Amino acid sequence: MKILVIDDEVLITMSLKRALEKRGHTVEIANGGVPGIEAWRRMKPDMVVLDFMMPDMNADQVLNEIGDRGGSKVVLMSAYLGDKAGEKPPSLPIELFIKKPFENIFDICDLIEKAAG
Amino acid sequence: MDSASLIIINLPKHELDFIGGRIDFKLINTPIVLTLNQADIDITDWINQKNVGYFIQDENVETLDRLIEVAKTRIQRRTVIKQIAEQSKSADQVVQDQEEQIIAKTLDIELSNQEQNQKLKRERQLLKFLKDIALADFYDSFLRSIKNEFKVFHALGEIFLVEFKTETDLAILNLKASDLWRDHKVPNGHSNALSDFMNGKNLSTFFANLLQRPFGKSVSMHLKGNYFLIVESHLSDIQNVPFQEFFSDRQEILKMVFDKIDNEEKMNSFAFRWEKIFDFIKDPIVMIDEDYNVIAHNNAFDNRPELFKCYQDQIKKSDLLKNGNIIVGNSSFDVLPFEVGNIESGKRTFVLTFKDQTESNQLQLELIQKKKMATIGKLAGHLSHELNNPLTGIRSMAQILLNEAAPGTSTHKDLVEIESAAHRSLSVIKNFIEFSDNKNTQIELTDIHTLIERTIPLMKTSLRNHVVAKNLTATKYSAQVNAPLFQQVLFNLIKNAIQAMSEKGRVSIDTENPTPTSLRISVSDTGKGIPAPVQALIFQPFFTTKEKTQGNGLGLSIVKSIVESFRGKIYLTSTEGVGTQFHIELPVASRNENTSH
Repeated sequence: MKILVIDDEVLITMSLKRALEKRGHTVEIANGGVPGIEAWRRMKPDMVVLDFMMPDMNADQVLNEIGDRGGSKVVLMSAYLGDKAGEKPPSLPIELFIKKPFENIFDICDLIEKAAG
Repeated sequence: MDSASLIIINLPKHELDFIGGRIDFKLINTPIVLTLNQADIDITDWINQKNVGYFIQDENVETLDRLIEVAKTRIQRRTVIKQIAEQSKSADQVVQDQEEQIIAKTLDIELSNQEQNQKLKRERQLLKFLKDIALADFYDSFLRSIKNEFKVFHALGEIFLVEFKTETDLAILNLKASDLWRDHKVPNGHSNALSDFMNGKNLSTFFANLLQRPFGKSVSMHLKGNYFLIVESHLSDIQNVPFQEFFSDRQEILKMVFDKIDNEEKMNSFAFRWEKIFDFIKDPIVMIDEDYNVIAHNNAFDNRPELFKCYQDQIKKSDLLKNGNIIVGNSSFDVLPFEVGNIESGKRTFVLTFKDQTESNQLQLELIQKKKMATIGKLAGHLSHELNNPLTGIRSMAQILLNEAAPGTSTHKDLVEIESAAHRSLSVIKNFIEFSDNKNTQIELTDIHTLIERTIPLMKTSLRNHVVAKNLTATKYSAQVNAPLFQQVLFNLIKNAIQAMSEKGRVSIDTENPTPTSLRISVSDTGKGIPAPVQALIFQPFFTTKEKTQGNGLGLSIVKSIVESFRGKIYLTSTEGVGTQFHIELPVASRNENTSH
């Protein structure tokens, strides 16, 4: 499966890439919304793992910008959602929401695979 | 012949007779000189009967002339004497008139003297009355003085002071009844009672109706405002006249003295009210003169005599009018002085208010602390979220690498440390966010000894250069805390202890029960100690003496907040060059008490 990981935190994208590649997936990473959209359009991933808050844009804006997802499924990650910081949840439908910080990277990989179906 | 001053008749006797028969000499005012040349004529009749001044009998012309002169002189002298006599007579009259006037005047004077004396006597009596009644200081003593003064009139009845409170309500003071004012209603049929009193009309009827008894004549006086003095009189009409006079003589004095008493009473009740208000104020208030003599003070001042002494000791050298602050025992007082002018003996007078600031200082500090904490919380919330991302990355990467590294190798060991450090950091942040949110910090009964036992191994790496001594002697060691947060507290204190020791030292963790209801946890180091000025600041947010790499100064202020949120307290003891001990005291939770019995 082709997976695109979009997160401004390099170590997170690196970890996910390494862990998911170990499981035989093709993984591309983008460290921001703008390069993320570019990569999304180019590679047409089966699954996009998207961080909610990034310095250049948030997940909402990314998803709006993409518009037609072309069959890509989306897993959203955020440290903010659901707590006091109070960012509104994305209005667009997603497969799964993962709360940061993660306890275990391999569990996250399981969740992503499960969300992909 | 009227115009002549002297008539000289020189005739023989028979001719004289002739003239005498025709002229009435009496009608002639001018003196007449008869000159006779015959000496044989008897002129006695003439002399007696006629108005003839002198007779001269001489034929010699010279002699005659001389005689005429003499006669003239004599006649003139006689005229002068006559005139003098007349004048003297009228002078007598004048004297007599004057004497009469003098007598009348003397009589007058005597009469007025008498009057004066009487008047003086009256004045003296009035003065005496004034002196007596001036001593009266209340309404009842006023009445008593009047009664005393009026007792010369035997047939007087009662004496009343009447005050109209409204048109229909009045108060009456009557010495016979009591010394107290009694309230009355105006009796029916006296709708214009107040104006009747003003005019002194219908008062006997009024009192007869009011007191339900026959009432004598009433003699009234409008004292002031709605106050009246009423005297009941049983004097006869004739006797009543001097009494009326006596009464009206005293009117001015009575009004004056009553006014004085009334004002005093009002002042007294006014002063009384103020004194009550004054005493009700919780802050000590005192009025002093410039020599620190106390003139007046409220009750609160009575309870804190040390305040004034302290103020006197501290403020003497500087200006009395400056706001001051004094600290007595554990309390802090603001002293607010203001000058009220020369009230006593020409000295400057001041009023000092001692405002207890202890509580408000405390509240102020707490408020500041809360605000600070709220700001820090917000800031830390943002920081925490910022840190979460990289820490998650570090931890995830460590997990992946751990998975790849061969167990038992040093790389594997290092990765374990990295993973656990990242994990710990994340949980510190998690706890911190939860703490600063003030929710989800579930406080539960926690075994502190077990918590300590679990915490020390987590710090094994940091503690590897030091000796660790545990001395957990408390028999009641359960407390209501949030275990992860309290573990952070222990972490912080142990970390501080380690950082305080530049070379190999000893970290001791002790517990004991200083009282049956409290648990003390002490973390001690053998470091260089903390100087006293730093001790005072050490629990404040962002205070640090550490290098940048060692800490951000949030540690101890958060530790303090956490401990206090568990109803505990934290303090330290330190000796420079010997070491520092941080002590936490927590209330012992009930489970220990149950299990220990």
